[in-house]
Amino acid sequence: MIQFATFPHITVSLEPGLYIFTPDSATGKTYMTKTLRTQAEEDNRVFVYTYGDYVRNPDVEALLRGRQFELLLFDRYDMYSQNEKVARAVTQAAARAVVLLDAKASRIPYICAEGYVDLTFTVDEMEVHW
Amino acid sequence: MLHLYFKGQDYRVPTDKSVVRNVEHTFLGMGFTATPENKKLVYAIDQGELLDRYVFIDRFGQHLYTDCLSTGCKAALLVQNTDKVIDLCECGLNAVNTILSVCKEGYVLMEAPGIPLEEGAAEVVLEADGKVFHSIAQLNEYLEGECFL
Repeated sequence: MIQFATFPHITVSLEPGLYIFTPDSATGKTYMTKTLRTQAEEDNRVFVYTYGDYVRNPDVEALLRGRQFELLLFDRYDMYSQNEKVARAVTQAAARAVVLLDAKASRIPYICAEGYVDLTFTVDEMEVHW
Repeated sequence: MLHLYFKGQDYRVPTDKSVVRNVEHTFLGMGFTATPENKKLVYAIDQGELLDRYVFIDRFGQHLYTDCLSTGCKAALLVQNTDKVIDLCECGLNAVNTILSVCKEGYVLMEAPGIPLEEGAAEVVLEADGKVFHSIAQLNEYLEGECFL
């Protein structure tokens, strides 16, 4: 279990592996991304990557090299899912950390995930779980 | 009429239409007002109340800027308020279902869904591959059969 003392408080109740958020809109994924993105400025347990980051620097492998995160969150993954190098970095990271993908497509190239996970969102608590 | 183009086929987007893939970016530059149709989209997808171009009330009663709307909701507003072809690649199935049942006009590019679309709306007029459908049920039948033969 990974927890972040943010507001809303964030709990990720998952073991290391690759997971995809249930592909519905408006579940709070991007809000969680924004919250964790700010958290990541001072918390080296978490890595957040979204389409704007991909446009600026698609070499995710280089960004992750030599660093040990507990949680990696890839937001708007459909926008860069065709990049095989990104997919490889995602898969490698999942061997030792929880990796969450915001992906809506029914077929995601190069990716083999554990399954879909839910995000429960209240005004003061967000939890990612099976 | 709402016009659909399905990926994976030899889809032909009209040459005078631009395709929007980056919904978040395009939304920044789009003007719209809180019409009943736009309010319906925000309520159906984000469970929010659209007040004007800039502000909505979210499901928890908080006043937020519309850049905090979900990407699926922004895509729906783009379909409703522009004549561009909007790629629904970042839309969840709930947003896709809402767009197809609420938007009376517009152009969308999407993957053919792997499961039947929700048959919620009483009246829709959709066009895909030169064929006109008057219900989601008709479109589902087409997607399950003829479309990919």
